[in-house]
Amino acid sequence: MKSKLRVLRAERGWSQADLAERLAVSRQAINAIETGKYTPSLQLAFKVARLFAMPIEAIFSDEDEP
Amino acid sequence: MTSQDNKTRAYLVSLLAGGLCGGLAVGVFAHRLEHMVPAPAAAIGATAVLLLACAGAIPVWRQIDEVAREAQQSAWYWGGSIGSCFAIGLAVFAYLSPPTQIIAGLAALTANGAFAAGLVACVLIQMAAFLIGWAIWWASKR
Repeated sequence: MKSKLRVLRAERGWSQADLAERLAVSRQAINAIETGKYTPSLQLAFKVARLFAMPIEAIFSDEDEP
Repeated sequence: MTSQDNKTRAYLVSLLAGGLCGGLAVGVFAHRLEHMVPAPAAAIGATAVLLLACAGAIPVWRQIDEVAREAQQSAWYWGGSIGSCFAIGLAVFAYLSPPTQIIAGLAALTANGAFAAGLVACVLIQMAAFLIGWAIWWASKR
């Protein structure tokens, strides 16, 4: 799973810990999602989308997606 | 690290320490009063202590995020499964080995004691494999 989380976070000047605090998850979780090594649940994906006020598909995309 | 993380860690350490002390207390109690306390009572006591520890882990499970939960689930699945394979291997070795090859302390055990030691060994092997599985899972997500 690819994500634009790192870019969106950087645009806002947030650290991984800042984002983790806002989403009520661990910093390790943010790192795993950003590096594409963990696919978040739908619940967490919706939470991320709400936080950045963007649709889910604008943040996350499938590896096979062109 | 957030203050909530620190609280969860402190709670986990106290839970572990409490579980160990409780288990030790049940063991000492059962050993000292071996001929006074019926085996089922000691067994119920030990089970109750462990169930209390499990109940104490509920707030931690609710507190941790989905990534930490998946790490636990994956580690128990793979660690428990692979640990069982080693436990079975050890059981075959223990059964087929001549007594001289078994640790002297274990050779002196009664049949009941040897059976109990075998059960505990299975749990310890699974727990060790769980810890390895947990560490590997997190290392793979870095």
